[in-house]
Amino acid sequence: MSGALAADLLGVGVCAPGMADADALRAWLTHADAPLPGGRDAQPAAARMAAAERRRAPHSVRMAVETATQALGAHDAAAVGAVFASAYGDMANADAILTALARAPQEVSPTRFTHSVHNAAAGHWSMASASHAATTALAGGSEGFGGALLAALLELQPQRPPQLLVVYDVADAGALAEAAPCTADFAAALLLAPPGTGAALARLRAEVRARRGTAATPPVDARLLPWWQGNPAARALPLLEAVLCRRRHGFTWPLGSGTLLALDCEPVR
Amino acid sequence: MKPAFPAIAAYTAVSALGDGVDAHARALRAGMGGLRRNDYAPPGQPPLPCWIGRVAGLEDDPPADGTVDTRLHRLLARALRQDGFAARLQAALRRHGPARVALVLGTSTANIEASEQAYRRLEDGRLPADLRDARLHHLDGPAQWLAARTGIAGPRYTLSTACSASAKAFALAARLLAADLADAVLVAGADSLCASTLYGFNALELVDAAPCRPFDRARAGLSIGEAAALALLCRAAGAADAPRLLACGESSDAHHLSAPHPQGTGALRALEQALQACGLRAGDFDYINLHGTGSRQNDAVEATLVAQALPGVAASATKGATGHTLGAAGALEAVLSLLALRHGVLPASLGCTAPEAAIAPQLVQEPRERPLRRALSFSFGFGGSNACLALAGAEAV
Repeated sequence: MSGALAADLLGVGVCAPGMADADALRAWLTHADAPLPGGRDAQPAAARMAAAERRRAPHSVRMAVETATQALGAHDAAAVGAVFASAYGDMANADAILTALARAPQEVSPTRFTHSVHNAAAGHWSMASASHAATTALAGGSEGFGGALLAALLELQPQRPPQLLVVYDVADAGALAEAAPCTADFAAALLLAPPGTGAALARLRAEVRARRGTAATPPVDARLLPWWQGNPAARALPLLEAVLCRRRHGFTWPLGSGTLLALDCEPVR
Repeated sequence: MKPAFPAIAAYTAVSALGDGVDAHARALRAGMGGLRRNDYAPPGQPPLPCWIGRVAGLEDDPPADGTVDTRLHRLLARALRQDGFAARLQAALRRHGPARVALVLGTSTANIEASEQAYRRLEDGRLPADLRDARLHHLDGPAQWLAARTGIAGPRYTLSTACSASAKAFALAARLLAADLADAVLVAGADSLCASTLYGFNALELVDAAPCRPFDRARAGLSIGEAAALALLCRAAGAADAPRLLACGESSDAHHLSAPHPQGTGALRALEQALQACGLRAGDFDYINLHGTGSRQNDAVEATLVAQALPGVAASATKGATGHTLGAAGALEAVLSLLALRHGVLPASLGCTAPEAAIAPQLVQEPRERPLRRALSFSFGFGGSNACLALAGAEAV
């Protein structure tokens, strides 16, 4: 199938329970005896957000903004577009709205309603970054990572600024959990640039292939399996693992029922 | 190099104006609206005192498949039945193969109406047994359902940026075609009536008690509507006599989650990007379908922006006729703009009797017939998400 896409990976961000950033994940990966941190909740600093916005914003938004900030590093946010993707958005916020609607619809919180839009993270990111660059917000169900990565790659143009890809899902809440299970917080971000921009962590080559029934590539380190299986955003984990361990690796993620995204990741030494 | 503008090989819609393109074209020509007094409410609740754009008779439509027979899926199923759209899509699937046809669905609330039902009758805190299908409760459910129903096996996307969602779906579809990752892309916009948006916008005091009055000086908020709109995009070589998607500009306000940038900075950027992408100027367009929700702030900012950046171009908001169909609005208003181009009719801005001074000279208040070549359509969403579609009629290409 046609459609080869290439990118330089310039930066990564991670936020998960007991894992504040990519350096923490890298250090943990080198300690083969360390267990996966327990608990469901991550502690995103999201220091880029104004204090009042940070207080009001849902946890999922803080997760997304924190990892985007990490991956962006010293690059100019105003020039960088961003693809945000989350399977379930902020389930605690949705649960609170649905509970209010069932009991007393007139009492739905306007703040919760405002934050219920799936692009709440994208909106907060653009505000926190004072950036008018285009953002989007995707929802791909439990296998949405490949599509989100492809959408970010499609935004790259030669000689143009990098693009952020931010994937996040937070631990499930309320009755919705049964239909949208998510066992722990996880968010990751990648800063992608057209090939040849320099200072890359890794070079990525991707293509779309027609094939049915393909599963997403699991992590090499089996300790990561609970997150990878438990959170749709953690479909990004095997790629982060390869980048942080400086290991060349190939990946696939399903796109539709008959197509997949195949990716080769070659770390830059 | 001259860009290859994607062709819009087929399009249709269902909304409060009716089913299919003929019903919509008739309404545009006659200046007829579809709003009705609100008769949609959760069981046991009085309807909120407002007006809505309701699609008639959905309750009597055939079930939209087994465990996922939702109001939204019925809207999509009804849209597929209009104007031979399903047959056109099947022909594309046969011609290109299912893996070469992609789907991009824009929605703001997906099947949340089903989640609302489930929460009204939780069983010991659990979702009731008949409402546990995951596709009822997450945003990608409708796209999963639509891909399965149509046989689309290429990349599948759900794009959810509030009220700009299905406008931005056109942009992603165009990128999939340009990168040769698909030969045809189904763009869908769909949102159904639900308690979440009625009571949510009500809590924000953004709902007019009267039928919405976009750009009227006495406007007091929006009227919520529902719709499903479909468009089949393909490379122009395969559909020489079809209208074209010239460009889609996209930007962020970076200002506020639920209020527009007071100077319209983000919206202007989306417009400029669209014009630059297709190499045209403001004067090359004959019609602007405005976002025009009827909210005090949106319409004030948009009126000033349009008067300054697109002076003299005939403009109207069609939400006075359809209601604000939220995530479906971008695709629905693209379809209405394409119909305006096809039939040479400038749609009226229903509900506006005393327009804002800034936009009064160019606001269309009665339908007018005249040949039209190109149109712009604005969509702005919560989160400061802006999109501007540029469309050309088949004759203008």
